[in-house]
Amino acid sequence: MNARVATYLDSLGLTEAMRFRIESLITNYEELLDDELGDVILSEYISDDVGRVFESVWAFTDDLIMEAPVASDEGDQFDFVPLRRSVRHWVIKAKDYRRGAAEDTSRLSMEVWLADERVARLRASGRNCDHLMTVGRARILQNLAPLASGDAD
Amino acid sequence: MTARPKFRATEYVKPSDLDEYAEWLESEFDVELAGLPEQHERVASALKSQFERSDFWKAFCSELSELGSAYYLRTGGFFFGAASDPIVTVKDWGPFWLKTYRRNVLENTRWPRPPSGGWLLPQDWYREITDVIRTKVVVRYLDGISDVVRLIAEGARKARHGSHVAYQASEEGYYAAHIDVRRRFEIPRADFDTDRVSAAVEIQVTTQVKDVIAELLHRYYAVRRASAPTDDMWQWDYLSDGFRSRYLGHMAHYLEGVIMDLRGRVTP
Repeated sequence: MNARVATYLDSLGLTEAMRFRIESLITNYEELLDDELGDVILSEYISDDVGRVFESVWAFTDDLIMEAPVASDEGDQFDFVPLRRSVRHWVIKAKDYRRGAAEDTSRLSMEVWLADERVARLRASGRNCDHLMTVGRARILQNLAPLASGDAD
Repeated sequence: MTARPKFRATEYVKPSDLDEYAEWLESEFDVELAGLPEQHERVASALKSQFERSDFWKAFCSELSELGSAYYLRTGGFFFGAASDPIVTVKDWGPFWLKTYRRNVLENTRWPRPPSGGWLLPQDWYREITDVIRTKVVVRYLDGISDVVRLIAEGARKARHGSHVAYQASEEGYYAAHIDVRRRFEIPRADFDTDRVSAAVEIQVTTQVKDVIAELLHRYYAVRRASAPTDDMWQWDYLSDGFRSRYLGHMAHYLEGVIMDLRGRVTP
């Protein structure tokens, strides 16, 4: 796990059990890829009933977008989908959010439509919105098909 | 002008409201009401801030979060039925004063003799009344209550505090676990010095369903608390508030038990 990802996890204020689980998912990905992950974002939202809910770990390399659900009630699941030049439609929904100036009330969600009608849904609250936007610009925007360079899929 | 004679409990008419209770306390025990509400606010505030700063409370909040995370990671479901960390609250003077009235008078079946345990007088208030400071943990399912109770008992043991658990099940239809965590506090005296007293903090552990019902019925119980207990046959007075509220509490508890049974059958 690279230092940037570790610093990001530090910023989330995770419980020990949650931190252990997230690190274990990241380690599994890195072992499967035999490489470090480029970026990681923890998709989460605030529920009126139960507070902050962590849904999935989303991971990125130059070529792949990957998702692993955080809860393990149905066992572990590791998803891999090609990313390079595959983004067909990117939808950003924001509330109380200005880029680089996230506040506690900020909410940000993204829908990323990929080739073959696959869709990735990522959500963030509070300071995590800034991280989601940074990762989105670095990994999603760069792979919007008309803008992207490199080999087409 | 002749001085008003001192009453003895044996001859004093049983106070029928809070004004008469204040008169009785002054006549019988030289307790003056003036200044007591302000003193109560000072003491309650000191208890609250010392408890919130305690290692026990900080560790407990952290352990609760860990419990919720571990449950979610294991099951994909939610352990707690509330979005925020538990909040420590203080019993305001009104309900506190009413509680001393209930203990000394309304629920005192031995009147005019003192209730078992003796008269509840200001010098003993903060040692004897265990919910001046309280907090509530709301879990989603019935079995979560015992998990939280264990956590509290273990935390108290580590912090070398006393603890006492009571699983409440009343005829009123009230079900919850109450844990008193007892420790030493430094509280202000009226003369600006301080006393060290042993006082308890009450931690209520309940379910989301029970919490909703308790909030709905709060006003009904608040009225009843100010009245003397009665032995009416509420079970047959099906048009009364008492019939509805009590059976609502009992039925909800029953249904939560059935839900636990069902969950056990469908979960591998």
